[in-house]
Amino acid sequence: MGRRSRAAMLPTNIILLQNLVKRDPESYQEEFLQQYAHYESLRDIFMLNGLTGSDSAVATNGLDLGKGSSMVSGTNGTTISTSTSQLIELIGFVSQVCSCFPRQTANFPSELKQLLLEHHKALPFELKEKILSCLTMLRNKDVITAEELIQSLFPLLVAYSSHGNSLGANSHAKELRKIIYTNLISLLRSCNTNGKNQKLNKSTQAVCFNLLDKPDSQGVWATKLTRELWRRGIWDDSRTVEIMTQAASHQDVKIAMSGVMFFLDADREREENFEENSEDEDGFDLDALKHKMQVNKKTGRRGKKLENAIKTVKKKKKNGPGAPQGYLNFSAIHLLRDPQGFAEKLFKEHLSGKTKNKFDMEQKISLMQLLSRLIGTHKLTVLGIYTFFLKYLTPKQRDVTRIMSACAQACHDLIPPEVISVMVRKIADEFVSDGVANEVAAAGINTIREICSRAPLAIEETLLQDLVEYKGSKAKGVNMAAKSLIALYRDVAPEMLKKKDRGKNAAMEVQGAKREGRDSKRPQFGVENSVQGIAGIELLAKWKKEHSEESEDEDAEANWEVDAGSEEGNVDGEWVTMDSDKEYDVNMEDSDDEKDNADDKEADSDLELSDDEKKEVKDEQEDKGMDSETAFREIASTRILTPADFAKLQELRNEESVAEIMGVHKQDRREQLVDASTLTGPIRYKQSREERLQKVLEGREGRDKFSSRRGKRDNVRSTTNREKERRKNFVMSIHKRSVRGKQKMSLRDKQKVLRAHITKQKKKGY
Amino acid sequence: MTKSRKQKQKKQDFLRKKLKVGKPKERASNATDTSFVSKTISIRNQHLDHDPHDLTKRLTLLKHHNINVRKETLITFQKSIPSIINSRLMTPLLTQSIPLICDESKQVRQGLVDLIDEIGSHDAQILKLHCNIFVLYISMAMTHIVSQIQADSTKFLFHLLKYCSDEVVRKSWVKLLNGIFGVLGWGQIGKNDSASVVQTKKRNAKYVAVHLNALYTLVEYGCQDERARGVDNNTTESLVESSEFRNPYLIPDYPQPFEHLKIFTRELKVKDATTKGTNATLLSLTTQDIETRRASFSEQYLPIVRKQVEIIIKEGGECGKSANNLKKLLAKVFD
Repeated sequence: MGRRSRAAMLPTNIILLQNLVKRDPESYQEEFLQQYAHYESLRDIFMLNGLTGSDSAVATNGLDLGKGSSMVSGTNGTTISTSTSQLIELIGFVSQVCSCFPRQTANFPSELKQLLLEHHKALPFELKEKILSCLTMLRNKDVITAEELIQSLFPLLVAYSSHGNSLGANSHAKELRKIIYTNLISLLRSCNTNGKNQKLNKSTQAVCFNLLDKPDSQGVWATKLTRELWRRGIWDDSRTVEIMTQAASHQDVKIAMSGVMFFLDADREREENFEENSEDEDGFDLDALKHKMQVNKKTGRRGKKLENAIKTVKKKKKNGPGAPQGYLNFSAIHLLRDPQGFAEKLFKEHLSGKTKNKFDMEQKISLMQLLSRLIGTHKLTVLGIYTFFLKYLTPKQRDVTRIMSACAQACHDLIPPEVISVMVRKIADEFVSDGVANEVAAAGINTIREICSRAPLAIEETLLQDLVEYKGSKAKGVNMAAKSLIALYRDVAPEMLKKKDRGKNAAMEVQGAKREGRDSKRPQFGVENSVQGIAGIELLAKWKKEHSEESEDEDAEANWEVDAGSEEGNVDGEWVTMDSDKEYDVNMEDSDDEKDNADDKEADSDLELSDDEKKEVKDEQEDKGMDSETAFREIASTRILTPADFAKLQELRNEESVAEIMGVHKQDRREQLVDASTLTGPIRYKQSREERLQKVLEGREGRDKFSSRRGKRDNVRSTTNREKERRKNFVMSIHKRSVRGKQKMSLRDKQKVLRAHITKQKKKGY
Repeated sequence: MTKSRKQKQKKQDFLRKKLKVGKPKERASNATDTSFVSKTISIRNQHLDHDPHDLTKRLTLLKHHNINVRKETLITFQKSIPSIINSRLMTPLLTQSIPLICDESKQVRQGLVDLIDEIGSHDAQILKLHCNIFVLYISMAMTHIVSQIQADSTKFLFHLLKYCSDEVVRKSWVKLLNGIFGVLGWGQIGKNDSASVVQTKKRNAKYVAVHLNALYTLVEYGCQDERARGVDNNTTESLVESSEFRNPYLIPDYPQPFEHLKIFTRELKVKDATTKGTNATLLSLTTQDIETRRASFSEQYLPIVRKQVEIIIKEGGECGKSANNLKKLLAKVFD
């Protein structure tokens, strides 16, 4: 009987009916059809009333102001709202259950789309919102495809982003844009969760390309979308990057800048995003759980816990650390299809063309940064940019350090030195002289050092020697900058330095070369220093030699060091610190500017060829004598290199490069960036009064005030009568009758008083 | 110490003026004189005399949340119909009152029926003008989820047919037939009756009779030609009308004769008609002339009607009587 009553249940509202229809679509087909017809008639009424309503109201308003037509139009508004709420309800109902009746509702999605696309100007906001959410729901139920949804979302996004497109004040454009945008993002994300949906991605990217093809500013949405998807790692291919290149070379300033900023920032953003994600995951230790399982009592619950943990770990491994499946970790600049063309186009159209003035300084600097990064990364030749930089290289220029860092990044060894040397000369002239502030000079020298580390031939010998003279400067920043320049050239081309600046190793090398009549290893333009034979073989040879020297007492040591760990590793550590001692220190000074005086002294002593190293001289001479060629001959001809040898080789090479990497551990080495903020070196300005005061107060924190506690009560109150009496002047109270009377009292009375006092005190308990 | 005169003057500006009792407040130096002189003053957009009989003010009351107010307003309008029948008030009155077809209160709906009757008895042309929107709301009421509203919907149809039958059957023949079938619970799909109809069939015998009457009039006006129906009509008039029927190449005399072509109407496109059922194709069919109407009825609805009518006749009562009438009409028209 209960079943019967359930079947005959009479739905009295839409939600109830929706529930019933979902449970048993066949039985409630009639009801559904009725409601569908209801929806249709409501829709027709809406088409008749709602859409024309606003127009007719306006028309009548214009016609007769005197009559009560304004009131009529006002009431018209309320009819819209009631019938609209019904329509909203029904649209929700039909889209919820229409997957049960695909044949009858075949036309429903397209009707919604038409309503939205063609009449969106006349629809009230709530209805638009509902239709959007219903379309998304239909997509989730697979009634319409993702492509269809995107095709209806994009035009709306464009329509609502244009200004003054006869959109009324009440159009809620901003909210709608937000809704549509988040819908788009979540749609693309959900479509790309299990493997990439290449078809959808391609079609969406095609839409983006089309948007960017138009000269107006609608393309901003394409760039915004692309950037967001890139940040989430959903789009990571070269097509995406191609969209952004098109955006970057767009005529519209806003779009162009969003493209440029994408290349400058997007990768960092993406990394941050993934780091956050990985932090979010609650890390639990699988090994610990397993161990607990072994030690503790075995119960079903714990076993289940372990199983769950294993499952989640596997899932995580499958998906990678926070990144979607099959995610490529290439930076945007590396995925460029035609970097040279892109760089040339950017330079020609945005920086040097007729339209260059449409960008303000900040934007121009961003463009310069992007261009220089492109040039540095892909070793491009855009020769015009170096003379372009000249204009901005003056100390008075705003944000000049950023421009200078761009300058430095734009240099590499395939640019003709004479092109760069103009720039270097200009920097030296403008920045490095006795008349300028310390940090200006430091910035100049540091920039020159950065340039020269990329293109060592860009500076003439005389200029270099002049700049090196600043090593005696009193200002710390300048001093350090000059020394770092020396250190660089000791490494790269010691011949260019004066004799006294060359340093011990470099000087000896030069002398040795002269003695033997070899041509020096001075770098030349166009000659690549490619590796012959096996890279780093001389290191291996040296290691072998040392190893064999030590091997005499190794046997003895090995016996009692077996337990302690791998003895080999121990030896390695020793070797590295001894051999690369000097280089390491120099580089430290180079990269780390915030050292104290102590460090400075250390560096000084280093430069003056410390005496401690004397004992090593012999050793090192041997080492230097063996260059890669001889080493190759020696080792490769005498024995066959085993895989273990190669592993060792790799290790040694890594260790050698440790010092170089010190400062730039995390960065991609191909994209070494010049940090603009470090160019000026450490600057210490005189503190203002407020700052000093703040520092003083900082020291006093948590300390009591130094003063006597006397006369200070812990809780605030007035003095009691007793206190007042006690403090009263003696002369005043001596004349009182009560005091005088005491003297005149008889002995007996005195006794009485005393006794009474005693009993009173006793009663009180004293 | 001695300040210059200029400085003193400057200071004077910032001193507060003391107000004194009995003296008018001093005027500010930058005050603007707004007085003017004129012979007459006319103020626009302001009705100083509030007309207690101004009915436009009462239009909003049709949407009042209180049932009684709505009902009273309908009655007021009904009483004043003779005076306003030819005023411009009629259009807003109808557009505002027609949505009351779907009102929750039975009294309000009854009041609306009376109002429509009143208007129709004075000037049927006005109803004809709003025929489209009438039909839309009636069909909405026919599919309304509240069964009381659904049951009352045919009453409106019945009264509307009295005044503008021709318009109604021409424009929305199939739609209304579908609606009545839905209300009666005569499913077109299969044996599955809709649950609400099963439950309320026994209780609402009275309503069934009303529905059947509405169906009777609809079929009568839709499928029976004028001569058969207009026995008591003026002979000359019927002659004129019949001559029109004979000559379909003249422009018909009713308003908007080409509306069914849907050239200027706003409508959503149907994606492709093939995917939809026969119902949709029927809906898109124009039923301008009697032959089409008759064909579509006999093709789609006649068998069901005959079957159901037989059942109802057997049950007897008031419903049986109306069903019998309908049966006779069908026999007369289609046999």
